[in-house]
Amino acid sequence: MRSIDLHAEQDTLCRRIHEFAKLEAGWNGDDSVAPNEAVIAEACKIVRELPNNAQLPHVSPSADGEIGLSWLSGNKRLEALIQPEGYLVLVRALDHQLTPVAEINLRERSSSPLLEEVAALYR
Amino acid sequence: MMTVAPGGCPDEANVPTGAPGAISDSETVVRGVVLSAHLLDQNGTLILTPAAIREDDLAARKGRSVSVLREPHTSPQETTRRALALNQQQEWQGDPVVARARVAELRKLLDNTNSWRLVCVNADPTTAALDSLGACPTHGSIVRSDPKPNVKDRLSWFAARIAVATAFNLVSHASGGPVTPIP
Repeated sequence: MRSIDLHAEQDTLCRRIHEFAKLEAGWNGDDSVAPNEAVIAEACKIVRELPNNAQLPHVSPSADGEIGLSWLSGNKRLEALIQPEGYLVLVRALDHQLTPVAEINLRERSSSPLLEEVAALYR
Repeated sequence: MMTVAPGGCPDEANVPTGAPGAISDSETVVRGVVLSAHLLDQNGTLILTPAAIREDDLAARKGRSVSVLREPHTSPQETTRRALALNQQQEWQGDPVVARARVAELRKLLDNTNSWRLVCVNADPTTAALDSLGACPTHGSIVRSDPKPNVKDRLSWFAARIAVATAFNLVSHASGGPVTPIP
């Protein structure tokens, strides 16, 4: 049942992520743009590859066409940012102490370090 | 003015023409929330997501900054008018949502050395020539302190955006009512 529910929740979240493409140019200030197809595809790919023990992230578009993904578990937090230049940036937080984790060029490496961080967050 | 650590914020003490004064630690600053997706529920407290803070703004590139209104000096009507102009969330058309941060809290943020201020909070009035919503003498700017990280230091910039966004932890409708994030 959990996997059926999870797949339905992933589908719902991916639909919401795809809605970000509809943001109009200038939606959040001068020269702001919507996330492009590649950024949206990467965000959905991450959502679908999350470990089974993980919660789905809160997703948020930026004015520069990035998509942020946030996970919270008690006093722990993980923030990821997919950038249109093809980078994935990860920062972990414990209470208010931020720890930079990784900057991944998605053209050269997969997003697996993020998935490992998410798994660790819920361990 | 309270400063817990040194930091490259030479403009904080300046009082630009038209400003009501330098921004004091006891003030709060407020900014409009554009989308419900920019709100994150952190254990019952709504905060801004880092996506709500633009890197170019924090870096003060191209003359930009993270725009705020100085709440003690700005009328509620003006705050609401400006928040409405930014709002993209249909459900908030009648009563936009704003996020506030305490200036003292912003000025206590430290960079990754834990010994240097992360951001500056400057009085920065706008003029009608540069502000599409009209001149705003109570406008303030949040910008990364000097020296700024290299533009390619994505981790440092993202961490700074998270820290600033998290400081905006007083979220309400402009009317003062509580906000329920929209799924």
